[in-house]
Amino acid sequence: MNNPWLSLSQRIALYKTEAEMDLKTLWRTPGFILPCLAFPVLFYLLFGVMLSKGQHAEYLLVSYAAFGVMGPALFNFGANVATERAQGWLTLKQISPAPIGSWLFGKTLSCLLLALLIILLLFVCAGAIAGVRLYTSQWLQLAGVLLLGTIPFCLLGLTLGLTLSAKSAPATINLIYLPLAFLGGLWLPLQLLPSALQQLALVLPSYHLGQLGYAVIGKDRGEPFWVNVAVLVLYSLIFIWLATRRFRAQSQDRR
Amino acid sequence: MTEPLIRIRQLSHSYGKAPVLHQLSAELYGGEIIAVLGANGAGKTTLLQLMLGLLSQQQGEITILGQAPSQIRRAPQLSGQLGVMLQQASLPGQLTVLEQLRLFSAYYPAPLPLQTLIERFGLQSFLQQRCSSLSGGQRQSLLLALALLGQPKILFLDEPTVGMDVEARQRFWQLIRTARAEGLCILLTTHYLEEADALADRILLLKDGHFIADTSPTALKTGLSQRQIRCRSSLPLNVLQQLPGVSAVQHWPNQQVQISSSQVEDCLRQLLQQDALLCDLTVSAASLEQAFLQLTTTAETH
Repeated sequence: MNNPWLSLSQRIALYKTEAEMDLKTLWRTPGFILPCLAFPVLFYLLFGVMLSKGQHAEYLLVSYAAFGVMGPALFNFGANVATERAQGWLTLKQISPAPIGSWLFGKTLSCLLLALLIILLLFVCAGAIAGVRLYTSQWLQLAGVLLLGTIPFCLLGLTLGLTLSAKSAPATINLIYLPLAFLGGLWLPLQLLPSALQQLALVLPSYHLGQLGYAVIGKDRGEPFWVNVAVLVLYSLIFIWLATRRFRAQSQDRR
Repeated sequence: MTEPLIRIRQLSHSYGKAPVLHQLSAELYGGEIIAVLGANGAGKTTLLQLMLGLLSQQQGEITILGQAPSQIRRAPQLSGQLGVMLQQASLPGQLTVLEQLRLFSAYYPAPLPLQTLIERFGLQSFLQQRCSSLSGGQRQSLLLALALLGQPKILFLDEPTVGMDVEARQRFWQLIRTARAEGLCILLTTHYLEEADALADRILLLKDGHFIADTSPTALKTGLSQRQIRCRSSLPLNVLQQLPGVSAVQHWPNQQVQISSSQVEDCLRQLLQQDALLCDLTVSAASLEQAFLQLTTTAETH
């Protein structure tokens, strides 16, 4: 056991190959990639640019970007993992000598790239069409915060993917995704919601992701940023724990 | 052939209160193809999942290359020695055959070179196709290539030729025989008795969670009391039924008869003496199917 199974360069090659294959898989599934890209952009153009006549273009850029990056995280990990599980593919990987980390790495990287693409598309819409003007440091901060902020949603997706059946996964994930975005204040500003719902928002990861984004343009509700970060980290830890449990239990429910 | 690669000792397993496997023991060696046969629900899949560490063991002991199956998911040094073709595994459809081979090759420190794989498993003609568009035979060839590309010591095959046509199946068998010649221990579960007969050196017959036979296909068949005589004979039915050891006689209009007898040599001697015009004679050993049926049904009366 002293000799590692793969040398360092072989391990790097493995992680690269896993990421390449997961990206190719995503890229060749237009039914997945198009809605992921189109919905945030369409919502932004409709509500952020046309209906509000550009008044809230800045605020809604953050809203729909946060909403947008949650999508691939939840669906690539949720629905796609559920499918791979149902196909017996996950079992084959589990008993192969590949470290499971390489599989997770591949999926995470493709989620992040897709999230980045969504962010860039929205930035282009905001800058070119809605006339949003931000400092370079703000654009960069916003992109960085949103990318890092997808991690807990990847982990939530993974937990769901390891739990739900392939058939029910897409619908169930929508049932979680859309309310999470709405109640987290990513569709409508929280002030417009009843106060009970405003209280509820404080425990949702989507709210804290949104707040981190709004803080970049100075439109957050004023919690110290470490509170938002702490909640997201806490959620990540919970989902890591749940996903690990589900992963270990995988073999037990296959007969 | 000195050390068994897989050792099963006193293995029992149950789902809740329903017992599935009872006190199984066997030792499996390199260079042999072992078929686990049994009706549906006999415990084949459970046994396989226990060996792969997909189910946690309850009673008894399994060692795979000297280690517990629970190590398979932890130690690549162990799982890297195993090749597995799972029954229901379908490949993610968006990747091509070549991409899938590249991905799996990255799991091993010294995989077979791609070119060797492509030639040996006949993948050239559909290398650039997406996995979703493969035929049953092509898909199974790819899955076998994935199972063998790490040059394992043990190969697990769970119903590998389901959905293949005759020609594809023959080719597939040849690939498995090649793997045996290289010294692999090959464990096969199958519904096709013909497949077990053609491939296996050894048959583990599983019934109600017990191994009721652990022997070669030939021994299994010759161990059977019944053999069949087919011929054309003008002898009347009641005479045929009086012959030594006869348990059943079937007859057809053009004087064709099939006699099942437990003392086939004595039976033949008398038959030829009594009927000088007898023709079209064949004597057949029991097929593996008959052996299977006879063994699994006689065991029921215990």
